[in-house]
Amino acid sequence: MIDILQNLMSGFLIALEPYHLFLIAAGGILGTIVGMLPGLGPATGVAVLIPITFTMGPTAAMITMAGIYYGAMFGGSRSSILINTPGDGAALAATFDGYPMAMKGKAESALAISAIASFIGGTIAAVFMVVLATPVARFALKFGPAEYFLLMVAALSMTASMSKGNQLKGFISLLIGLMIATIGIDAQSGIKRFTFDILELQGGIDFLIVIIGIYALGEVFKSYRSIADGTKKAQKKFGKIWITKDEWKRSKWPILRSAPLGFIIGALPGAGGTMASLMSYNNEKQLSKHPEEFGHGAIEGLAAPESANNAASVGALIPMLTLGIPGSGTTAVMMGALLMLGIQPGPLLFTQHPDVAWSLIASMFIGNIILAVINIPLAGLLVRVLAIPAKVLYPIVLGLSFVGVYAIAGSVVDFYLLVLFGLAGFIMKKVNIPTAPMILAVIVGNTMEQSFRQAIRISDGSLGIFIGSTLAIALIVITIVSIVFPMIKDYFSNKKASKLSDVA
Amino acid sequence: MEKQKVDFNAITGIVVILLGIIYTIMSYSLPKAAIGNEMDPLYFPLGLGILLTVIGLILFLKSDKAAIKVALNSMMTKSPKDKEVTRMVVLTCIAAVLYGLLFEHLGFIIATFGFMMSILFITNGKKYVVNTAVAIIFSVSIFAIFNYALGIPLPGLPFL
Repeated sequence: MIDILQNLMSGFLIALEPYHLFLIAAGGILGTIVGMLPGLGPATGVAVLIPITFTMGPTAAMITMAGIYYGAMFGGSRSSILINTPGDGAALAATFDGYPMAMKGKAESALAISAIASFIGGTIAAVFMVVLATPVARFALKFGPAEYFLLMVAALSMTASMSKGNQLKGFISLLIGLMIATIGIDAQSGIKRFTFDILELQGGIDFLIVIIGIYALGEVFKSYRSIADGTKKAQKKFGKIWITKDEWKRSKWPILRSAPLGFIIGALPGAGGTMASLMSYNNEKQLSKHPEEFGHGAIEGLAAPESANNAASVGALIPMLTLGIPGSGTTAVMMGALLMLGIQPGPLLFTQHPDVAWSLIASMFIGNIILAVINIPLAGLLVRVLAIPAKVLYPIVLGLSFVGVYAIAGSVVDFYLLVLFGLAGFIMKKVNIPTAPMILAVIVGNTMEQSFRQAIRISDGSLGIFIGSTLAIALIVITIVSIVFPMIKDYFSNKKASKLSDVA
Repeated sequence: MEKQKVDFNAITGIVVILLGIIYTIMSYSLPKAAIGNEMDPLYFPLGLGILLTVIGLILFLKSDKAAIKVALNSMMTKSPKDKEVTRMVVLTCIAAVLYGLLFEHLGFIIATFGFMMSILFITNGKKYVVNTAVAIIFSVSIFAIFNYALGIPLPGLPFL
């Protein structure tokens, strides 16, 4: 323990050098701006900005990347809150309550709580990282393909069941999402599935296109209604970017509870920020005394996933640094950059390059503080986006969506997919099918199928492997409870309602 | 308010059942794997298709079938506001498809300018001065940001 603290101290000394402080701040600001553009989430943000780091030494490069990574996480939720367009999967949950808050004229509180929650979540996770890096890495190794598959099933069924009284439609949305994920060349056999002989579909459909189509385009289509009505007014007056005491009271515990959850999920390779933020959202909704407020601008519903999301981004560094297995797209890009610099992440990183590893961990603490400090005044500028009249703002959102989608793969075919998913989202909203399960399914679908098949192969075709460990059984129980619990709850509330109407 | 009462569950159920069946058939007719178990790439999609069909069926059975007529009626007879929204959505989709078709030929700036002009015309009407200003600033500044600041190349001007 003493040597951990000693290492951490020397890490702090390195990270606190003025040059490194400047790099964290500059990386953070650049990352925030890139993260705000739809389609350019942390992974793309880091990838795009990585050339800046090539001329630096490994320590400076790592510190800059941490700044960009954090900045992009902050930025992604900015656009979720202001224009309902998440920059990436992890910022998805921020749209559920963040955007309704902005629509109710509480954008200032929403932006402030998101910065505060991100800061607290990230800091708690960084503390965990210091203490738990090694044991968590060992726990993550227990997850074989069967456990991964079950973890994803549990996360998906929780999200699908979340939509109250609407469970069946949640599962419909989920299955359609998994079907979308099956499009493309199958990685294990090389067989083209559902590509309709379109070359661009062979690589599969990028989940960002689905997200941007459903959320950004869906929002634009929805706004047409208010434009036709002539009802929606632009916000003209802006308050201070801060929260009230009451709002803090409501979000305090959700933030603190979500940070460890996010950290652990983030540390599982392949799970990442999206699953962490969605699970913490579901969690808080179950625990809340006012679940009906969720989705209509409940501040806890924004605070919890924001905390989890940033905690997960710290957790995701664990498998990358300690095992050499990247836990998410962003960490994969960062690992690529490290390899280019001649540093091999893995168990030996902490002994061979302790300066790199520990100054990265120290720069997470400092990056968190710097980003919270720059983001609150920056939010004061950003919130003025809402002063643009809807008639002009939504065409701009539309334009940004198309550019963002083009930037993903440089293909116009994605434009047509974007329109298709925009229309799909529009129709799903009309017939009341929730879209979140579908999006999560598109994100994890591929990995889910691959782990399923790997598990089956390991067990030589027997399904017994899915009940082969305590962890697996625990995950199955969670899944069953998540499906059955809402049914029972519905049944009883229906019974109560019918009794009441009998009396009446 | 009346709109809220329209129950699309039965119709949704039917559409979902059809979707499930089509997907299952398509999965079944996928080419078989050349290596390993030849059905291997098929199991997962097959399972999805069958499950979707079953859930669609449950939704249909649980739904109020009398509502089909009402729902169909509501789709046919639309209030003028709804017609307006539908018109805007359809026009946007047409503009987007044209944008895609012309994007690589005209380059980013010109194609985006045209696209933004048409969308702004749909939402903002005939305020040409504002529309033109927004469209020009948007296409030029985004081009500059992506091409020069971020190093993500967008197709430039044609004939250059």
